[in-house]
Amino acid sequence: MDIGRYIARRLLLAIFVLLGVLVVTFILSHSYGDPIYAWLGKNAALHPNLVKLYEDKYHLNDPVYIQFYYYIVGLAQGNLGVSPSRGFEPVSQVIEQTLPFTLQIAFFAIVMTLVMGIALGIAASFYYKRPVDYGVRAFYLAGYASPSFFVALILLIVLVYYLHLLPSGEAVGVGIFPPHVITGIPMLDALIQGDWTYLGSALQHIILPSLALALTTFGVVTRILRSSVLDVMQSNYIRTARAKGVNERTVFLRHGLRNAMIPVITVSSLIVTFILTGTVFVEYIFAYPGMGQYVVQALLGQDFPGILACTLIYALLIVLTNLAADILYVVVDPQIRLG
Amino acid sequence: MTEKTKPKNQMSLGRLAFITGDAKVRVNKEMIIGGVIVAFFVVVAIAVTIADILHITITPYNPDTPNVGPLFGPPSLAHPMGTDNLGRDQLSRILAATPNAVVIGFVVVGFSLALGLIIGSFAGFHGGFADEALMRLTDIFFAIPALVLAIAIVAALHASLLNLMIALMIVWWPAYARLSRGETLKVSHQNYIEAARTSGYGSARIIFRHVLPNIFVTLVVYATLDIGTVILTYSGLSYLGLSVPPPAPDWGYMVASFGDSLLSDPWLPLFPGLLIAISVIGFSIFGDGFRDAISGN
Repeated sequence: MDIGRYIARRLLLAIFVLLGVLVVTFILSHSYGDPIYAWLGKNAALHPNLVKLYEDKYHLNDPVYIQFYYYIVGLAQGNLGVSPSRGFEPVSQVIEQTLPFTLQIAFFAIVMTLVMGIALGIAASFYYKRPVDYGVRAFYLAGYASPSFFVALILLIVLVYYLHLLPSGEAVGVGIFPPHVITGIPMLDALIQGDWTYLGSALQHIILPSLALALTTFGVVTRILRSSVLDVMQSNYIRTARAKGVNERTVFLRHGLRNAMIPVITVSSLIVTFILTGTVFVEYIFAYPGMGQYVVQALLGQDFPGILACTLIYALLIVLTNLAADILYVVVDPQIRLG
Repeated sequence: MTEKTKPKNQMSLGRLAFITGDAKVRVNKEMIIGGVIVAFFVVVAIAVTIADILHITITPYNPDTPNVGPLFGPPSLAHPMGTDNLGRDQLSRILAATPNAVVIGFVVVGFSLALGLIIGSFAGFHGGFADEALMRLTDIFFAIPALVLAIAIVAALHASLLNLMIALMIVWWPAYARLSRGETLKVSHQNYIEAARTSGYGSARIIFRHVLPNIFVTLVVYATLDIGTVILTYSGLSYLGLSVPPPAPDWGYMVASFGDSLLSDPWLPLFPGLLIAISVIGFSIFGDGFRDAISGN
């Protein structure tokens, strides 16, 4: 099978997975209860006809499959419904405002995770069974075991309140205007237009949330890279390279590390899932205006259209990463057969 | 059948049961360190639960009684973890919340293990449509972050410990089904399975007597490592207020409600957060050690 057909088949499968995600989440979130009282607050008790009006408008009294039908029809037209927790603003509009910020955090968190994870993984394998190795191991165990909201709180107290190193809250400093929209992702737009004031401030604001995520996730990379470097460096081709008189640096970088990196691709979907889950907490704690904060708001307001849309988008991001990882896998490792 | 002729591949279950008796499975340092931490939490959880049933207080103070100490009192001899905004003893509250984490960890993993084993081994053994359907279903569950799906479920069911547990169980079992299926595929081409088939045994008997005992250990090792992950996810949901309703104590929720006191009274969010981390570390270290011991490294 050539790579084009492989990608096409995987894309088709991804569409089915997303449809499945939609069905599962829809059924689970619509299986119980009437959210109308949470939506309308005390108005619900005061105005019975208002309840009726909203129930009719959003088909709340119809069976789940009828509601699902309306949802799918809306979805096909790009309509994700309205978000009661945001004053009945269209969900698609809220997503459009919040998703770019989550993508920014996720991007920086992934970069930091990879940098920390790879550096420490190499360090640990170099100093195998020596103090550095044990230190790295303790560090990633502590990071992995700490909930991201806890790490975020500690960073907040140490770096913001005690050391005054970094600002916290919102995506940029007060009074800084966002750049003109080109891609929709503010930091990228600022970079394209050379808006250094915005970019500088945005960078300062994004370090903490992404660092909190990286600290809880880098262990996944370190752990797998450490053992894979140890494995690879004992293999025959490394011995051959050394026997040929290739210097140790080249042996490690050209022959060792390149092959040892392949298993890291395998855990990429785990990393992305960890980081997306973490954004829910760090955005909430650092008051970063992304989709994670919206999920929490939607949750507290029983805003099912909001929760549903966010779940779908998280799933889309994960499915796309998996697809990218699988393709990358085939590209870097010619031993893998497509099937 | 004498001891000598006992088939080797049926040793798995026996190995697990007599961990210290088998020379191949040496209890290592990690198992001891992790085991001590895990045992501490389990013992506290059992003790607190029994005391709760008998209506006696074994924690230093009653966890829900206000003004047993000063308001926002820092850690002291009388209150090693300080007191909260209502003057409740924080150590007692943390201890009282231990059963939540332990029960959720074990129940969610236990349920997922049992259901995953049955569904996964059946699908792997029979193949065909059931197998295909299961794999596509697990694809769907793997595409959604567990926490986000659990949020959607708990939001629909309303917050309570039981609903949180149900949500986590719905989200958690597919990973076990997929792992069981993979392991079943590995063993189902072994000679002893072929032999059982040739002997004319039914598939139920082969699955229960020959497949399950041989994939059980791998699954249990995974499950041990997984309990920590369940506790992490649960603490996240608890942080968002989706666990027991207040005033009952819960680790994640305690971190959330005292997040604002971080500067003035750091012990309030720090101790519950640390306890979450320590419990997860305990299960991770124990699981790592257990895996090494089983695989003979």
